[in-house]
Amino acid sequence: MTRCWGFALAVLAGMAGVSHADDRIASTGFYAEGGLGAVVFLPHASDYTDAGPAFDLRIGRDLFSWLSLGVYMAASMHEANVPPPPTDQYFQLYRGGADVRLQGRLSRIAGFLEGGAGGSLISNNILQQVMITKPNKLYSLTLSAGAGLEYQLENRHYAFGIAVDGFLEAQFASMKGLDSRFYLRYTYGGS
Amino acid sequence: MRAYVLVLMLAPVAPVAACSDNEPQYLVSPTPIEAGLDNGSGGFTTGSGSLTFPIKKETAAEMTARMALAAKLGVKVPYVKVGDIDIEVDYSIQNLDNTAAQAEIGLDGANEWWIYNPAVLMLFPPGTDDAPMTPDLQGDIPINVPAMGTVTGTFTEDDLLEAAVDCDMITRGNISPFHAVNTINKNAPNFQPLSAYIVPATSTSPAATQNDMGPVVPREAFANLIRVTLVFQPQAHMVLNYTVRLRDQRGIVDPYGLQSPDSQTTDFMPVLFTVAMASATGGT
Repeated sequence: MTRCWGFALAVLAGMAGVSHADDRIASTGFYAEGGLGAVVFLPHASDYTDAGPAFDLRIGRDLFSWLSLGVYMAASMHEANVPPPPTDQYFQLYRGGADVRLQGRLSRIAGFLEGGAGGSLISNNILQQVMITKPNKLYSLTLSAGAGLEYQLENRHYAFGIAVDGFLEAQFASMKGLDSRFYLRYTYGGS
Repeated sequence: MRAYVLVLMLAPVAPVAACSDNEPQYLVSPTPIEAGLDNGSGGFTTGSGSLTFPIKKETAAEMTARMALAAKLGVKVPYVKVGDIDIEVDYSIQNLDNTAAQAEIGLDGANEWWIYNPAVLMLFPPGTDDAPMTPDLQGDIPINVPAMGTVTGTFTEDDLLEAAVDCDMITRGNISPFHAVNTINKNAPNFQPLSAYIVPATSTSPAATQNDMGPVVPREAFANLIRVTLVFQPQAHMVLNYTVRLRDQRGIVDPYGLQSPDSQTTDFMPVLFTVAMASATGGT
């Protein structure tokens, strides 16, 4: 695992190192991202939950061309597959937090690694019967880390990309999941 | 242009902002109900289970408001009213026998004043030929359960709304359970309480007339259920599990659910509803 992260960092460093005059111009500064995707849970939570659609919004600030700080909000909806009864019940998972993004660019393609922490709210206690949530404990600390690729459009303010973040819900029996998304980014800065 | 982009990006998370605060709370039955064994007289054992909802204690402000409403309406107003909580009961029946068989589930319950238990509600004088059984508030429908199989089902929020209104009409209004259960009352704007039903002394005695009694009870004062009881009658060895799903519209359900400390919840003490029987000499 450590080797994998090391490799990814090396790739990013390489991308940053080879940026040169034919880079497509990308704004840096304040940015906003809106994304659509899906969240899937990993075992053992996946035994009781289905994958579900996800939405997310992210705003942040590029401190440098290779480093950004941001905050995000995300929501996903899932069907619960707990032992019946009940059946056909759903829950929503709302996540929010702050993260750091390291980015490298190779012409119009950028790659990034991101990681952060925040909190989550699960909408109801349907997972209590499988010991994932506890009575009156619908909040959790959330840790997340992930990576993505971004394509810079001709207009320097716009880019779109794909990203996958893994997250861990500490108070929900360490429930783990993957949030994959396709997003559109708008960068406000002119530099 | 920038504002347009921001709105476009915010659109996907709009459902988050729109999410309601009446998310369901699930109360899993603490023990399964097992029944359908040979009862020694050619029949099958029945089983039942009850679950009382964890309702927070009434605050002084709530009590003041309730008393003011009662004074305005001229009738008793319950703490837990129809519309305060939307109730659903989900169940699964597991057939432990290797032959297919039927099972029936009767749903009864209690509001904060009265317990409705049809098993003890004798509406006909002793000796009446083919006297019908007093009906449950909901259910009593044969369900086919395959051998070693499992069947799931639901008493919907509408079913439980109907059950709550019927329960209040029967217990507070002295309306015949047969009339209440076999008519649709869930949207009733009010009901007129009647004088107490007196069971005739004999099957040949004339039934006593029930007259209007007291003010009309408006819907604002309808009592909701605070307890559900399931009566399980299988014709083979089966197990019933159930979960109560509450959607709290008023913020009166304790979030700890069945783990709520007693000090946080209301200890309702409803009374078993019965009907009087006329004596053989004609009195009550």
